[in-house]
Amino acid sequence: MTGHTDFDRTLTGWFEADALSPAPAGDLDRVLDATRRRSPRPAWLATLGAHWVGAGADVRLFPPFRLRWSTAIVLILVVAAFLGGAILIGARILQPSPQPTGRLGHLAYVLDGDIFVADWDGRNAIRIADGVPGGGPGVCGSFWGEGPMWSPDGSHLAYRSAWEENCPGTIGDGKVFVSDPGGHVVVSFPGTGWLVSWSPDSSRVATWVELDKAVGIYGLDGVRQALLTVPPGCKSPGDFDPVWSPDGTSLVIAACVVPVDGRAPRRASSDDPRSHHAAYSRDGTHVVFNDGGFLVVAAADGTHRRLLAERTDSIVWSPTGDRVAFTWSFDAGGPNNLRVMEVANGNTRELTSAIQMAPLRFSPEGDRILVSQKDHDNVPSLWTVNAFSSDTQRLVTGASWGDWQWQPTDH
Amino acid sequence: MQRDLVLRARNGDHDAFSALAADAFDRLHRTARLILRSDDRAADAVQESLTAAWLHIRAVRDPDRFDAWLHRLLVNACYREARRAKQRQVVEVHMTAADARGDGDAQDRTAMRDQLERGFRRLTPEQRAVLVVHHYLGLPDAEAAIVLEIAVGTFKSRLNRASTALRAALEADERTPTVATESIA
Repeated sequence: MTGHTDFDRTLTGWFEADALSPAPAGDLDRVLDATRRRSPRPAWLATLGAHWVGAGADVRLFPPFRLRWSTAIVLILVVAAFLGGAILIGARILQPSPQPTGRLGHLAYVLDGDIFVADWDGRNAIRIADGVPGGGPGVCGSFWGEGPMWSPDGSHLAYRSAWEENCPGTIGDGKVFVSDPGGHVVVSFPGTGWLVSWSPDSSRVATWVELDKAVGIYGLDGVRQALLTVPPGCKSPGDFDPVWSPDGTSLVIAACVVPVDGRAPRRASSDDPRSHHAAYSRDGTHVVFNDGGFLVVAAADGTHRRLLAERTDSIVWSPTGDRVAFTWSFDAGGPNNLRVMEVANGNTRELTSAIQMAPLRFSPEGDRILVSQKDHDNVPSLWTVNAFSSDTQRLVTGASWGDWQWQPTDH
Repeated sequence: MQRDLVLRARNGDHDAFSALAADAFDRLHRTARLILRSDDRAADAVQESLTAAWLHIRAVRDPDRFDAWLHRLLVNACYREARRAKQRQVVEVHMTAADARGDGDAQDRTAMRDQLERGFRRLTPEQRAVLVVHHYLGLPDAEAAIVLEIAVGTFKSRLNRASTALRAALEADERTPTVATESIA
């Protein structure tokens, strides 16, 4: 084996010879039988679950090592010392955020291509956007909302519609509407994509103007404040909607960090939590993200990482920043369990389970979780789950996406 | 044709997904087997990746990049499979008709394959994946980087490191013959 060419040729030949034997008969049928009994996740859930295509191959959470007895003893002593220290100083490091200054407002949800606003528990619903019956994302004449629909301050509601000019439209083409809590449209502008991306200060919305190519930032007056072009090197398979940084100075788009002031975009490194579909705590001090199925909590800048769980998906923060809710499943096709974990100590409580489910939002008081789930008949519903007692209550049947409004307590 | 199938599958058409899966199945299994060096674990990885592909099919925005997306799912499933494997395993050496004849060339080829097998198993799953994606799938660097979810520059350097590591393993193997029992990451 001399020279790169010979080596490469030998290796390629070995691979090809080794790959000659066929795949085991019957395996494909088993996979197809298993998938036939299930439905693809709705677009917003597929997006949330896109960690399947977003695992950070660069980040090795468990580098291989050989453990010797002497090393093990030293490790035990170090861990004991660390735990003792953590007990002493952990309270200072992991102080919960201040108590929330908001209370639970209205529930906005999507049902059959219409947008509704109701009381927090689904009662007294009012249709604020009337689409075609049975419509949904991409269906001509329908309305839908994904991602946070309410602005962070609860003052406005954002949702999408299929764009009439494009009917019959392709998935994603549409228009963004912003309304007041009563459903009166304040402004609308062209926009496509999936999630509605509110800026942290609730003053702007970022949306794809052209998928994978350009993102527009619109103010609540409907004026486009910026048009950000996405370099080809930032493209990546799967769905990627713009995500605001906690300080509102940049957007994470696919694999790149794009400053909103027009400075040059840069590719997000695999160490950057924003490249992992990260979710920031409401106070912006912490970030949680899903790294190849591992739930990782870190400081907002990505430092001080802690691996808390594995086989996780769809993570949301409690408003106080001391807990996260997420789904856990033993395998990709298995049922989801809803769990709540205290980030300070990793204590986890299992609340409920379903064929498919995802937590959408904590209540401002942190005592309830808005959850989307499907029953055995594949019918989606919105539920509220008590974060402490596991009590559940169905809010809306047939809806797979909803969002709770955050209302300041001084209202 | 494939684009049409992806669009149909994205709308929930399981028959279209079945056609996509059937078309890709052998290639996926062979790729996983090359990375994991085990039929059983390759089957698990392929099943996991195809199940995830169906559940998350609506995450495919660009139908033309379905193959890259599917291979990315597979590579990630292989990484997870490799992490789960903790126990030592016996190397499976498949004897072919040519091996059994026992002529000189065949024996040389068998010895070479065994040597490659042992050297390859010494690599990390990430190193094996980069070599398989480059030498077996033959993907261009940019697409290989997408499949492995790394930057193109990282892909090139990782490919170089993996090749160097394999060469070193082979040279070490030539100096010190080993029995056909290896640990696998």
